[in-house]
Amino acid sequence: MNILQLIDSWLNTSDTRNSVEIENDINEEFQFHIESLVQEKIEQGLPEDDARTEALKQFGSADHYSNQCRHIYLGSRIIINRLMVAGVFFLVLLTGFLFFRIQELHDNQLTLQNRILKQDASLKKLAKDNKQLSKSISDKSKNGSLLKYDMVPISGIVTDQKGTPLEKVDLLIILKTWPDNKYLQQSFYVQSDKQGCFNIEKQIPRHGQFAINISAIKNGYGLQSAYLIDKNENPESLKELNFKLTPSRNFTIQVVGKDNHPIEGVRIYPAQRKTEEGEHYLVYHQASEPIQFVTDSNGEIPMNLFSNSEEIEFRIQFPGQQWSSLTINTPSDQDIIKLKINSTNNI
Amino acid sequence: MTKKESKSKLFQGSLDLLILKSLVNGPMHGYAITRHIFEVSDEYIHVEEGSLYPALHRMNRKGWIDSSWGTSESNRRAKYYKLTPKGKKQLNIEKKSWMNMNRAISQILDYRLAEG
Repeated sequence: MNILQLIDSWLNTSDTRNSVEIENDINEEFQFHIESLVQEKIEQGLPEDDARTEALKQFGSADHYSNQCRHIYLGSRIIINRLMVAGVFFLVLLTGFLFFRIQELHDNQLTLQNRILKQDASLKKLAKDNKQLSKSISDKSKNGSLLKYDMVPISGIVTDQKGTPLEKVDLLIILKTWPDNKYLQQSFYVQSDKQGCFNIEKQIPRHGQFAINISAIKNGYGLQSAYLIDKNENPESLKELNFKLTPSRNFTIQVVGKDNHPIEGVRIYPAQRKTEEGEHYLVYHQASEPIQFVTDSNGEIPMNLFSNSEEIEFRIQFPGQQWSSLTINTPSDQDIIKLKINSTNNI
Repeated sequence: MTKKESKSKLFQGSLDLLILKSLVNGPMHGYAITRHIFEVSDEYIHVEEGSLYPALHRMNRKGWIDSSWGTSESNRRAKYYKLTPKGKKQLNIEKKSWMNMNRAISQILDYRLAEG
């Protein structure tokens, strides 16, 4: 009998007796049979006791037969019951598993919701902070406290003494600022246009400390510079930096060795100029690259940036060596200034 | 022939046939069935109680026979079994099967005799 037949048998049975009732029925049936055998033995002439003993012996194991019969009725029920118990146990386990799984999912969902809520709160806080910051910026912009972040341009005009604009004047600029209490030095290079104008867009903070040095250099004209420190923190005063250049005297610098042999490839630039009138102009090393000259095969450099009787400091760099300084006075009767160096390149 | 000899010679499957056939005459309790088979077979076949009752309950379970409590000739409560329509059909099947088997065995026996 397969499982389907068992189930069918169990479901279709009209026998609604429980196991105790079935067992009682079987025992009573057996008892009748044994008593009938006893009666049979007595009729055959045996004493009652012997007849009973003989009947019991003939009948055999009533308990064993009883179990066999009971199993016929209840066997399928026992299997079904066991299957049902197993099914219930499985359902309990499944329910428990699903419960814990759902609980776990619920917990995960809660965790996720909490995280989302926290992120939402963070975003709201961020939005609020941004709003406050925007308001603060707006307020500060209105009362001008943010103007220190605003910048003004560096601009000016270069002319000769007659006011004629000078074109292609090299303008070397060093700007020193202290943003957020930190020192910052920047260098810029521009050339004047046909109208003699130069302009560097938005470099000077409108508010805050700054210093600026601008050197104006053009062959044939004396080097000039302007050094300004904004004590009043008002860069508007720098809006126009005007230079009036004066003509220079042309002469040549020649670099020679101990044996008067010209040295080629020496890099030279004018670092300072002091005029007879006591005016002092300078070029910052960091801004000097556009006006660094190099000696030719004759060791010569034309130098048209100075006038007679002026004190000049040159910065000189021999090939592969460090920069060094040399101060001379411009001669009034020589066209060539000879710079002689010894074996250790000392001038 | 002793009872022990008759027990061993009761063919497997023939018990159902004997019980069903016994009940054709009317309802009987277990003890009466054993007596009927024993007497009709000239005391040749004695059905053991250990075989009878499991067979009765199995056939009852299958619906071949029905059971009910009644009063015996000795005025005791006894369980009576009666043949059902389903049991009658089964009896015919069992009877035919037995006859076929009997004929086949007879043919084998006859054949061996002829060869001998």
